[in-house]
Amino acid sequence: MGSMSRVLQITSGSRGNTTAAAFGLVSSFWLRSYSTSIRILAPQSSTSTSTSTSTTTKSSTASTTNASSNVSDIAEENFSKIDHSLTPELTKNSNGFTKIYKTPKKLDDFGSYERISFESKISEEEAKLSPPLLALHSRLELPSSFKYSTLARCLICRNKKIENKIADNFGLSVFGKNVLVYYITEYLLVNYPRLPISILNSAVDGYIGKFSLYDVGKIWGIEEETRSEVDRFLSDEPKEYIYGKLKYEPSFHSPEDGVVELTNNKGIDRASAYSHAVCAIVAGYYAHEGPIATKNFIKNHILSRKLNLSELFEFTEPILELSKLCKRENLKTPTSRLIAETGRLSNSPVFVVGVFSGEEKLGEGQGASLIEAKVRAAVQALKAYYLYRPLDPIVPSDDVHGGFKPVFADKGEVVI
Amino acid sequence: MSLQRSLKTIRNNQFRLITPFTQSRSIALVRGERLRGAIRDPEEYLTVKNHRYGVTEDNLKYIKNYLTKVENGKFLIPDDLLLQVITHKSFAHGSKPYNEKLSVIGFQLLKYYTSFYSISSPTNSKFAINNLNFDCLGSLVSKFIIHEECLAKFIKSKNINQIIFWKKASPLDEDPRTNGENAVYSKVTSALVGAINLFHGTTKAQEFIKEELLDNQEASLVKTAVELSKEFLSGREKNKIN
Repeated sequence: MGSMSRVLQITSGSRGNTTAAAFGLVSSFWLRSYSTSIRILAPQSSTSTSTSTSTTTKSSTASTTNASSNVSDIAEENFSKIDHSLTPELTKNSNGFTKIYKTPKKLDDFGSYERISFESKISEEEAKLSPPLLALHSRLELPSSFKYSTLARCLICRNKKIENKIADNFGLSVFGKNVLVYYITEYLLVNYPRLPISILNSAVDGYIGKFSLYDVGKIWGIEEETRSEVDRFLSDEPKEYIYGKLKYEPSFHSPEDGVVELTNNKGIDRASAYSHAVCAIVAGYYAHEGPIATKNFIKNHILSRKLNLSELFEFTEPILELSKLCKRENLKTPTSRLIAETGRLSNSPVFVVGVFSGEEKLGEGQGASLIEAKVRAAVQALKAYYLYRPLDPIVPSDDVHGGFKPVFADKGEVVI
Repeated sequence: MSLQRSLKTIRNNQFRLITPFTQSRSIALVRGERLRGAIRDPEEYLTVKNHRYGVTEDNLKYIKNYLTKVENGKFLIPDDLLLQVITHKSFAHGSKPYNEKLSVIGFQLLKYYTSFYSISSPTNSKFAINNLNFDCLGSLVSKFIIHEECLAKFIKSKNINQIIFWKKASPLDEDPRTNGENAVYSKVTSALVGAINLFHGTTKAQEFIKEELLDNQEASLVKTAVELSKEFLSGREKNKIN
């Protein structure tokens, strides 16, 4: 580690007030250098790099208005370069309304939309020089059609504080998330057609929620770039090294191990950054390989993860719900009957209760009291209903292979 | 509620007596004002705008006529599924098959396919990947395409809203944005897409979205989204001035 680490050690070793003051200093310095580290990615001349560095240093403590005014300046410069006339669109982001998109006069001309701040992108030649990027590409067994430059773009998160000059993964992650949500919802709805909506949403979140995708990103071996520019400079590594690492504006600051300081900027947390990168890689896969290969990629990397749906259920009134369910399905009213018991007069009795609709047993439960066993039996019966799985289900998106049969459409959960 | 008051309420309300052959007692079914402990008359809560719930030609005529006209009935689905598409969870306290799950899968497909439609527009952007311009995602128009109002407008334009089984939370509220009308209609649109997806497969469902929801000039979601965006931006400008 370079001088930055030493500075941190010294400040953390000093007395309370001094440490707090130093934390502030270190925090602002760290953020400043981080912002710079993102901007330096753009292949620029030495003069322009130094200019952008100084701009960033000035605006590190500045408000959003400064940032947006910079953006509008860039927009005006670029207007003249584009053939058809473009008008800046006001789009809401976390900073309020800022100019982010260059929108065509014909608003539905989606091909002409551009991000105002983008000036350049990582070229394929540059990306190929980055060993971490090549390693990640190889580790994920991505096809040769999946360009290294696309993968490098997938690892650059949008900076809401100061929009990136280099193309980032925002659009890719939005599309990747849409693709992921559709395929996961489709899989769950076809394999477990009777799942209640709340459980379905939790299950989708369990597969592709922020923290699940963070785990996926970690398993894929995506590394994040946490060093300051000073540290990177002192380490004397080639600039291409950074292309293979995840870059984002963090909403936290960790001055030393075990200490996390939440900062007041517009950054994102680590899990969000990883999930954006994973979604973007899915979108990149889609762009280069098409929907069928992407579906297989999702199946191999996301759906292969085990999620116990049975544990997601929590019934507030299982007996009533079962009764309503039987009524709706025109089954006989459920009745609970004692099947077996032991130690009724001891301090640890066990009762086994079955819940029956006419002669048919719907569920069975055991417990230390009759009520507990009855409730458990009702819960088991409800879970058996809601977790029903058809044999050999075919998801609607498999219709390209032919032989598609209509999928079972559920009536909906029981409303108490 | 005291017994006297209950009896008074029963007298004031309409009610009818049913004496089935197998029952040992008569059941009083109450109509009108809600009465605690009394059973409501299904004839009342299963009827919306003089349409009794059920798989009948009369109930399904609007949605069926529409689907029959599109590509000679290429996207037609069975009648019971059609009835489920036009039944919202609020109808009859969710006791009849309702469209919630169909609308979930339909909405996700809409979201996915409309974003694909946006990015695959012809582009000259140097930031496009394989001719897909991902930079249009996140813009106002691309967000508004799947907005509740756009989807609701589609249902209205096709006259399907004439018969939809749902219950308004507040009968006095006339604003479609707050009384749930837009929310229910948009769910019917996405449920229709979901039902076609589950019955015919994703390829046909995507064709339906493209031909009927996006490229169709009469009720294009894109067209409505553009109007909404302009309205939104002009409204914002006005607020800025004020």
